[in-house]
Amino acid sequence: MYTKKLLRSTWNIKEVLSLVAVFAVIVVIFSFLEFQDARGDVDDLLKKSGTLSQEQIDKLSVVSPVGIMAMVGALGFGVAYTAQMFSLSLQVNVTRKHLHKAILFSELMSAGLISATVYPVRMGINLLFSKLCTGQYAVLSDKFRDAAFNTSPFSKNMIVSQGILSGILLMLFGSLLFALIGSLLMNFLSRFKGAGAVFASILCFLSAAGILIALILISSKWISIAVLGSLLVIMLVAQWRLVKTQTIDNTNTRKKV
Amino acid sequence: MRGIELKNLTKHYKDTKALEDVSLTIEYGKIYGLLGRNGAGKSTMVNLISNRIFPTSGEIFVDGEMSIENDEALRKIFTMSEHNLLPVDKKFKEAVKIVKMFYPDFDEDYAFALAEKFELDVKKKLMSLSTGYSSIAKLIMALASGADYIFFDEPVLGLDANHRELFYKELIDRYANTGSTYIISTHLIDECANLIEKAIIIDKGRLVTAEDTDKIMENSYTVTGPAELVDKYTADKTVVGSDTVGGIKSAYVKGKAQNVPQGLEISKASLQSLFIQMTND
Repeated sequence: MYTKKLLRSTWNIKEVLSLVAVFAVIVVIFSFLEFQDARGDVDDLLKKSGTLSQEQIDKLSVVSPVGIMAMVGALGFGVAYTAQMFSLSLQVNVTRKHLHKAILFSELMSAGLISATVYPVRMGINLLFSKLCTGQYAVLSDKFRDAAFNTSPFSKNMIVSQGILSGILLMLFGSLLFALIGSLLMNFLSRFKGAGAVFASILCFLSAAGILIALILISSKWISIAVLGSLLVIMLVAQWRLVKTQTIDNTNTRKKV
Repeated sequence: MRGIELKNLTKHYKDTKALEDVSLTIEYGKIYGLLGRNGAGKSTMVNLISNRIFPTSGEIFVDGEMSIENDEALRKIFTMSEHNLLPVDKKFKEAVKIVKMFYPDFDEDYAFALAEKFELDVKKKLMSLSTGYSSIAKLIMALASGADYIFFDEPVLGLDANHRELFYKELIDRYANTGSTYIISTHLIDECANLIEKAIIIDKGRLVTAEDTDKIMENSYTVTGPAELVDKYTADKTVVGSDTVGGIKSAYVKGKAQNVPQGLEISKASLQSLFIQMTND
């Protein structure tokens, strides 16, 4: 009940919609730049070899500035709400258990919201530019798609879906990871009040975003997902233990009374 | 039993002992003064009771129920802090709705009536309020919260004399109407000495006393006169502290004044002067 109340009192529809609108505009600009960049890369590669290797396709589709931006955006989007929720929970005496849950839900909602904004907009822009450049609607330019078709059947599907799916997955993983780090850190740093909560949030944001970006930049997509997955499991166990310990401690003391 | 009970409450921050083995009972339906010097542990105590921080050891009970991470017990407590913890981008009237969500007995009409008395612009965002009006907004939330135990941490910070007077008046009215417990943590002891029924004095994290203010004051007096005479008179008495200006000495003595020799003047000790003597190094 208090989890829902915390979410209701911090999530403001008007604010969310205006932020989403601003985000959509940024995505449009970045999509255009990315599209132009990808087209240039594909043209260059095709001129040199006439076809694209699996590695080249991965490079083009996975490390997407829009994907990273969306992920970081989702994390950042949640920071403000996390700080607000933490602060409010102190004022209205909401227990840590409810606060942890509210932060998790908030992060997942912001990730979902950004996914729902970024990817349809990105797809729409790509389709529009494809139509403008090639006369046909396609997720990517005809040349890019043809090159992909020439490599392997696996990459034919991947070229369309890989960027989108991996982006969504990474973003959801990232947000969840952030939420868990955030709620754990906030519990450990529970002496903080007011401005301290914002500091803790920024710390969480930086650590989670730093880990994610470093992983994406230095590792392959699957290693990143594996590492993130493991981290998530560790965090989930830690979170579960934390909540359980608090509940047990509380129950025992109540029994004594 | 109704009330808040602290049992051997201790809070350490690494090497700092913010609160050390404090045991006391805050009775329901009284006005308390929580007094202590800067860094004495007042805010730590309030934050522990409000579940904002967890104790290193010890227990807190609200109406007989363990309060740590206990929603039902925590619903009975409202704390007005020095910092604003409500969303600052919300208008006062929106913040009222938020607090009401968590405190079902929150009196919305009373909150707006108070806002009018204090001339608080309810359409202004909390972040754009001045220091004084920010305190007023928090005071109104606390007074209207409908909670059984209301803590005020430095409630009159930034308030002008007129608003301070109005706050004390409203607090008494509210107390008379609701019978809730009010705990005021303040450095302005003289200003609220008449309001306080019981005083909790803490010093360096330890409880000095938790008694009726009348009792503290009844059992103490000030004796003033030439230093030699005062020293002679107080030689076999418990002296809490003393001040000497020129050759004139004032001693704060525990007990009742008896057989006062000529040349010495006896007066009632003020709560503030007793507090200063009790907490002086």
